Parts: sequence; C-alpha cells; structure tokens
Amino acid sequence: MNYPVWNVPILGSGLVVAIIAIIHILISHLAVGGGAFLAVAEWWASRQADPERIRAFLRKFVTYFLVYTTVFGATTGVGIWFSIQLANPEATSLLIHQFVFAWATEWVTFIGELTVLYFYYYGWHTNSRRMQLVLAILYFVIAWFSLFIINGILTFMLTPGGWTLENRDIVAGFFNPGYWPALFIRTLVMLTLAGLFGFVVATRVDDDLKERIIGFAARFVVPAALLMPLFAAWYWFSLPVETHTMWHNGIVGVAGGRLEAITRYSWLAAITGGLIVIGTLIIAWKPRATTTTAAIALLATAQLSMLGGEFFREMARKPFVIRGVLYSNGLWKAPSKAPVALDQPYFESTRWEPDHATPGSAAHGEWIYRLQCASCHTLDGYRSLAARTAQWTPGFGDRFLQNLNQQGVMPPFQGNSQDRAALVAYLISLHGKPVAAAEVEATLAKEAKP
Amino acid sequence: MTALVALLAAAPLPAPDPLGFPAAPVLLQGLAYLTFTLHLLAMNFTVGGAVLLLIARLRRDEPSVHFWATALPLGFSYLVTLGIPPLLFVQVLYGQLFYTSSVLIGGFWILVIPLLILAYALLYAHKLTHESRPRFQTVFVAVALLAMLFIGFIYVNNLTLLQTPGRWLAKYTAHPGGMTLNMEEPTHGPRYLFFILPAFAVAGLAFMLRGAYLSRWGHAEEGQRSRRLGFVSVVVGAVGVFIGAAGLLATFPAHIRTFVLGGGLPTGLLTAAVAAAVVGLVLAFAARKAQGLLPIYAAILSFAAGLACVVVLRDQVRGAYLAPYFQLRDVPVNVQYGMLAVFGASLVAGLGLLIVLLVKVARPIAAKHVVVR
Repeated sequence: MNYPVWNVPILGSGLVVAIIAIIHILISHLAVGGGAFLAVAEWWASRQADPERIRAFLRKFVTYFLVYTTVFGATTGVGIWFSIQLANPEATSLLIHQFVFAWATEWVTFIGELTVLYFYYYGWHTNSRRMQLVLAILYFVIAWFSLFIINGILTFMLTPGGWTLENRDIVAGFFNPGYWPALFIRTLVMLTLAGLFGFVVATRVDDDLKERIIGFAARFVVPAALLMPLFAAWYWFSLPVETHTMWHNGIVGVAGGRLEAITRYSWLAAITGGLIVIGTLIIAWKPRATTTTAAIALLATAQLSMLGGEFFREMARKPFVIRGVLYSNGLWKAPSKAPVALDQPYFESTRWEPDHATPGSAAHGEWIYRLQCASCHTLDGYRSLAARTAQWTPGFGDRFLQNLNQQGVMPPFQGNSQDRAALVAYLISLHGKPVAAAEVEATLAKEAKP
Repeated sequence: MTALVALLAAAPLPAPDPLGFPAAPVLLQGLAYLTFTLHLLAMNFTVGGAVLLLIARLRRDEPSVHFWATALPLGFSYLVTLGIPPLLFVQVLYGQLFYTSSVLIGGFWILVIPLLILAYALLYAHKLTHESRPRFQTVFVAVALLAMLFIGFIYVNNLTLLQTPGRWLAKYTAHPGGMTLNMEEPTHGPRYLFFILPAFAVAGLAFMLRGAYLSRWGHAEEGQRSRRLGFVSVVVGAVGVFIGAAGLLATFPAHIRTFVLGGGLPTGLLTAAVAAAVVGLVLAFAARKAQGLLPIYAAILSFAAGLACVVVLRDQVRGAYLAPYFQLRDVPVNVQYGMLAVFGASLVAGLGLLIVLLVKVARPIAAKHVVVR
C-alpha cells in the first residue's frame, strides 16, 4: 500500500467524489452546450423582426449561465481534482503522469473559454453584433475542445485499449475503444442540457416571447434525445465483456431479488432520459403554461440521469479504477507492480504499518480495514460493512475473503491467514460482541479438522 | 546521523509513480514557476482587492466599491483557473508527497472546495446586487474574504506537511479522516503572512493602474485619487512582506536558514527578490505622481519579477527540506514529445487569441467598466 487511505465516516471517500462529480458533470456539459445555444441564438436573433427582444432574453440567459457555470462549474471541476487525489491517489498519480500535457492543454482551453466568455458578456454593450456572434462561436468551439480532451482520459479509465504500463502508448490509451461513442454521447447530452437551461430562462420572460424561445430551445433537446439510443448502443458494444455479464446478471437476478447496482443505474439513466423527452414534448406543446418550477424540475431530472450514467460508468469499471491495471483500493493488478505476493503478511507490503498493530491485536484488523476496505466501504454508512457482515461467522468470513475477487466487483484480499482472521474478528466485533483474532483462528482450525 | 536514520525509518514514504516524469524536471519546474507566479498575482489581486473593497464600503467610497465589485469576481475566476497548472505540475513532480499530505489533512483539504464556492458566490452576489440592496453587502465581502484567507491557511498547512514526512505516520494514526492540520510547523505564521501580505501590494498596484488609465481617459481627479490610495496599499504590502520574510528566516530550521543565506542560487534569488521589491516600490512612488502608463507598468513588472524569484526560491527551499527523503533526479524521465508539442501549440494559439481579443475589443470594455458612471 503506497498511500494512506482517506477514511470518511458515513459517506466514504468515493461518495464524496461522486457528489462533487455529478454536480460538475451537469454544469460542465451545460457550459459547452450553452455555447452552441448562444451562437445559434445570436444568429437566429439577427433573422427575427424583433432582434432586440431576443437579445434581451439572451442577456438574461448569459448572465445566469456565466454565474452558474463559473461559480459552480469551475470550482467543482477543481473539486473533482481534490477529491480524486484524496480518494484514489495511486490512480490519480498514474493519470497525471500519463496525461499531464493533455490536462495542461485542457487548461489552455479553460482559460480560453473563460476569457472569450468574459469578452462576450462584458462587451455586450460595446462589441458589434458580428463580434458577439464570432465570440459565441469561438466560445463553443474552445469549450467543445476541452470535452474532446477530457473524454480521452475518462474513457481511458474504463477501456484503456492497447495502452499498458509497459508501452505507455498515449495515442492508444487516449483514442481507446470507448472514446468516440462517449464523445458523441456527451455532445448530445450537452445540447440537451442547453435546451433545458433555455427552458428555465425562457420562463422568466413575457408570454409571447416565452413561446418562441421554448420552441427554439426544444430544437436542441429533441434531436439529441432521438439520436441518443443509437450512440448509447455503440457505447455499449465498446464496453468490456465483464461489464456486459455484470449488467446481464443484474437483469436475470431481478426475479431472485438481486438487482446489480450497475443495472439499477443504467435503468435510472434510461428512465430519466425518457422522462426528459416526455417533459420536453409537454413543455413544447404548452409553452405558456410552463412555470420556472417545471423547467427546473426537468433540469433536476437531467441531473438524475447524469447520476445514473456516471454511477454506471463507475460500476462498469469495478473492481478496477483503471481497468485491468489498478484496483479501486490502490492495489496494482500486475504482480510486477505489487511489492509482494498477495498471501504474504500484509504489513510487509504496506508503508503505513502503525507501531501498535501487532499481529492478532484489535488494531491489526482495524488497520487492514482502513487500508484495504475503506476506499470503497464505510463502517456504518454508505456501502456499510457492519450491514454487509451482519450474518458473518468466522468460517464464512474467512472463505469470503479468500474468494473476494470472485464477487466481480472487489479486488483480491491482500494478506495471509492471520491477516484474514484479524479482519474477520474486527468486522464481527462491529456487531457488539467483541471477538479476538485468536478465537477466529481457533474456530477455523476446529472447522478444518474433519 | 542516527537521528536521520531514525527519521527516515519513521517516515512512510510512498514510491514515486512508476511512469516517471513525462518531461525533464527542469521544464516541469519552469512551467510550475511561471503559472504559480500568475496564480499568486491573481490570488493577491483578489484577496487584497477584497480588503480594499471592505475599506471602500466602510468609507462609502462609491467609485472604488464599483470598481472592485466588478473586478473581484473576474479576479477570482482567474485565481481559480490559474491555480490549475501549478497543481498539475506539483502532482507530477512531488505527487507521492503531495497526495500523502493531502490525504493526511483530507478533512480540511476538501473543505477548500465549499469555501471556494462560498467566496465566489458571495463576490458575484455583491457585484449583481450592490447597487440595489446595499444592506448585507459588507457582510458578503467580509465572509468571502474570511473564506479566502482560510483557504490560504489550509494550503500553507498542506505544503508544509508535504515537506515534513517525519510527522506523517503519527498524524495518520490519530486522524484517519484527516481532520487535522500541520499546526506544529514553526514557520506557519510568517509563511502565511509572507504569501498573503503581498495582496496589499498587488491590489494597490492594480488600483494605481486603474488611476493611470482614468487620468489618460480624461478623469484626472479620480485618476489621481486612485493612484494615491493604491500607493498606500502598495507600501503596506511591501512592508508586510519584509516583516514576513524576516519572520520566515528566523523560524526556519538552522540548516534551511544556512541553505537560504549561505550563498549560491538561493541567496541570489533572495537578493534579486528584495532588489525587485525595492525597485518596484520606487517605481510605484514615481507612478503615484507621474502621468502616463510607463511607470506603473514598470512597477508591476518589477514586483512580478520579485514574486517570481520568491516562487523559485520557495521550490529550492522545498528541495532542501526534502533532501533526506527524495530528489527529483532519482525519478526516470520518459519524455512525451508529441504531447509536449500539442501543449505548446495550444499555448501559442491561446496567447495569439488573447492578443487579438485585447487589440480588437478590450479597450472599450475596460473603459466602460473602469470609468465611474
């Protein structure tokens, strides 16, 4: 274990990442799609009989857009950085060392889009209309390019393609099998969000204009929604076989009361996606009756859809954080990268052995939990271990740990029989009846005798 | 020697990333220095500006309030955005140390994000409502300022913990969730002041620059006032920095003090920084009275050069702290030529675009937002 593990009570570090990320993902997609909206609307306004009224709407749109995307978008983007380095330093380090110049290039696009947006917004009364159109187009192109870059790194984590630790082939890793379908999906998502955001702002203007703006904004949502299943299917077929199996097991398992998380999240994304289409059609049909609350509710539905999509992506990666390379808890898949073989005393392979965790002590089990489990599980909150081990006996617990990676979503256990006994004792002790590791070992020894 | 061996044994140092450096460390350091200097300028502008805004609000100085109300959200967004590349490059260079210190104070480190959002939102709230609803505006700015000051304090804790691995294991044992800071660090107070107090100087210079443009655009009285007020702030900042620097030298461990004052590059950087600050101060004094833009731009350049020297010196000092544990030259280098070219090209394109925009559209925009209505 190279790094200490950040133990967040109740939430768990992974959920901290997720909370920040799903807020950011909605805003960042909107930040790009909104650029397309601005550019097309500038052009559209110039062809209407009352361009000034439409530009007054656009001024309102861009004010909300600017504050929302910069205050919450830029900061939560940095927030993802902060949270992933805390939750998964090993993976963040690998991504940084492989892709730092991609990220640095993306940073140039950030500062470019920010600057262009400011020139657009603050130049509202001084720039020519032509310049405003040019700036809006420029903003969209630069912002979309930032997506073009980050998409390579995001998809790399799930489908690294021909990249390996040895060849470090950045082109193969960047333009990996998931790259193109994901790029199209995200582009459609951002157009959808721009339309939905347009609905919200449209509810703040006079009725007759509202009707026209909603009609205009709906043209961003509907085509994107119609194309989405097509690209979703393409994306699906780019995913690893293991992901398909996991998802399929979820479907088959419903009858038996077992619905895999990955299946749940894909359904959430699909159902909310359908709701967005229905909601958009209703709004387009009755534009004057549309309230701000209704428009915000539709945007909130999109937020749920993003949640489903992003959790799906996370679950599809399990048990890895970088598929086939690095497990979620910072263990390298390649034995050459693991300091010692898996069944050796665990503390020999970690740099974070405390002085007092003598073999068999309560601290021994606790430290194994902290270093191996806590990156995904909390004791009694999100993915609670107390709940998951409520029925454990020493024998069951020991066998479970020996076959941990057979679950499909968890990495292998690192450590020998003494380490397993210490962890089992610690986990069973969570239920109010303290058990010593020695007792667990004694029970196991008794069970082992015929 | 035995003390050193015991220290090393107690420090659970993670191994550097197996991929190695994607470029020569000196290039990565250079990029980090450049972007960190820009980040510090934006940070100082925003933090110092928030203080000057508060003062202006209390003095009911409407023109100044209006200027800072517009400028601070902009400054804040560049402070955040310019903070990204130094964060990227520090992760490449010192990742295994930086991630560890971040995890060890994780509870506070993640707090940076809500504090950022709070400060940013309050500065925008102030900008959008300061004319219509003046009642809570002073509170908005005060809370935003406190949030920014606390963020800086968390940063100082992380970056000092990064270079003191001897404290790591005890901290991790006691605080698994990272609800701790590096409060035992003796250089904390002066280091914090040393990085925060230049805010007065940078914000003061910005205000003087505003004054110079106002004078140029025919608003002589307000221009003169802006330069005069700005200069007071510059003096406060410069004096503060010298006090902070003296405090820092006094609290450094003996071997670090010797490293800084014992000749060679570190002493040269220190001398250059002091010289640049003094020259900057003289130029700012000249710009206080003089017409034209040259003196104030020269003062700004001089201060920025001094700040850049401090940034390089800071990294050299970090190297001295880390010398027993880790040296950059121990990490293999696998140069990514293609990606370097892509980044370089994007940087050139970005700068080109910036220049075109500045030439084509910046002037009327700046005039509209700087000149008092």
